[in-house]
Amino acid sequence: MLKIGCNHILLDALLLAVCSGCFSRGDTTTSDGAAGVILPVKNAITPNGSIYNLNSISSNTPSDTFYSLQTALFNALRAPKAWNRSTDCSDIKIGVVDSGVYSAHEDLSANLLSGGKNFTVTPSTTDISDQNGHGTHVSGIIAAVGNNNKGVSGVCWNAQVMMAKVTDAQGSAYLSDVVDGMDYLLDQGASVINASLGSYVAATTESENASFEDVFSGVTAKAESNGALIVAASGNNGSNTDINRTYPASLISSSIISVAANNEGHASDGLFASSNYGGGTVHLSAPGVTIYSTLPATGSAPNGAYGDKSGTSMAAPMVTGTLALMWHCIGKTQINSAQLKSLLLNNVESHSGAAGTPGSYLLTGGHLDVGAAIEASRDFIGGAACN
Amino acid sequence: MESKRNLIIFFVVATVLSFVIRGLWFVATEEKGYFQDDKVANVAESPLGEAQIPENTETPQDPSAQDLAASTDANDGQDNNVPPNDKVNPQPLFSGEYQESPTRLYSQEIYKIEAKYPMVMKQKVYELSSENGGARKFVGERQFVADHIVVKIKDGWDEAMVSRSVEKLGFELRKKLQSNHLYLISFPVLKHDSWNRAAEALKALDMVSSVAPDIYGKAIE
Repeated sequence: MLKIGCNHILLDALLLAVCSGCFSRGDTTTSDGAAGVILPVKNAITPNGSIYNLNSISSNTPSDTFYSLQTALFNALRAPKAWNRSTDCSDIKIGVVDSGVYSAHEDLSANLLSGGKNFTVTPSTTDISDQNGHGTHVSGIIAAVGNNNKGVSGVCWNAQVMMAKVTDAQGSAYLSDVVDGMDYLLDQGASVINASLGSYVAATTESENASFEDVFSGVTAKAESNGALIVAASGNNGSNTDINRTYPASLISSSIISVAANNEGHASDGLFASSNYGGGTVHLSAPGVTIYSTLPATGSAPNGAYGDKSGTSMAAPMVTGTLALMWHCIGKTQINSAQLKSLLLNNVESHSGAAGTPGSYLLTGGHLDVGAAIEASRDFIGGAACN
Repeated sequence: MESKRNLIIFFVVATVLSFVIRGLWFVATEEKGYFQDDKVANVAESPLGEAQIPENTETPQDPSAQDLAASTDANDGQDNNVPPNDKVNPQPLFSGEYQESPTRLYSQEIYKIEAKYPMVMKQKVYELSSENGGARKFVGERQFVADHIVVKIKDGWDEAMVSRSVEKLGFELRKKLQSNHLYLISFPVLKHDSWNRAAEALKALDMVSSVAPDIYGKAIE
């Protein structure tokens, strides 16, 4: 695929001009989603302004063989601090729309729900095997079994993940299957859906964008009424999605969280060059470069392989896992989806302000901080221990 | 004398008929409008509109080779809707242009590929300048299913009603999606702009809330 890294500096003036008039997604970091609820807020804009000094919190470092390769988790996301509070997401159903999953993987199978549906064939079947590898990789970032002396660690060590297979072996998908897959997962009770995919619809007019919004409106309405959240990868075109929309990431709905990829865990604090961005459409960033996770079995790894991938597809599941971790910590019935979304977005870590990474590229101006998100979750329940 | 008169009548009638026939032909070709660039590459059309791919077809001309090369400025080089080459029949079944509005023009090619829905439309989008003699600027490219449309139906219409309504247009209800009020409506592909014309026909129905292309292409990295 042709990838053109954007020049953020050159685009800065254009971006600011566009974003000054961009639409409101109705879910800025200051909204709490429910009247009368006071949410713990970390300053998301000022660098180093965290109210959560996690230095006093011990780290819970998992025993997984390749954990040392998961630099994003233990470095930028401060996940070991969060894991000291909780590692469990097991009462939160997580749906994944992707290429399927290698369900026999040694480091994943325990956290996969049986069932699932394959939309890539007519009629649809229950064969969710993964011929591409993408879905297995994404599922591992969310929920590879942690601390089991093998493989890698997911954000959630214990989880329930179910799959809607919508992309074929080449990674291609139909918009209609993506819609159907998400709808299916909502019907199955998913509280968080990870959509590390997107349909770039190219050069749309406002009336066309309205049509795409309408096509997805049944899904987003169902997510809102079910109290579910949809985490979508912003896409890897190095493009401003305020202008060039990508679906489902660009959908205007309180249920959508759009995620860019950053270089966390690597040389700089900036956005991944190929990551889409948008001061009016992309909420936050998460690590997306050289992310190590699970892959389908190979001849030399018959129980499941491991490897790295890069892109916003890898960033989104870190947010998905974090939401599940937070929801479990607080208690499913103790916080609604809008509140949870605000709690996450109000506790991002600001990008350092390094050249080329101004906060105007993202709605929150910041990147995922699992450690802070879990501390905020504990504050939400009055400082009590996580469930 | 009578034979001479008959000869004159014959010439008069023949001349009139000639003008009538030429007039009908002129009207017919004028009505084609933006069909004129249609390149149907030796495709035999069955009564049902099913295109049969000939063994030897003309290699399609890319109307925007230069524009495409410069497209990175316009859309950051987006190309994720283009399927792997090995899945595409290199010869389009139909190709041509469709001008949606005074400022928007599509260059369209329809292929048959090995996929769940084999008919795909590869569409290049151009903006037409109101100056410079209507110069075209390439702004993007996308790919979607060529023989069906995603249709959102308003409340109060059930599947049977939808089916009956679209059948009156010569279309078919291909699938009711899981998501409420969404249907895939299929239609015969007879020309490069069959999709555009079907979309217009569907939009005109009272029951239709919106229509959208079923985008198909690379969705993950």
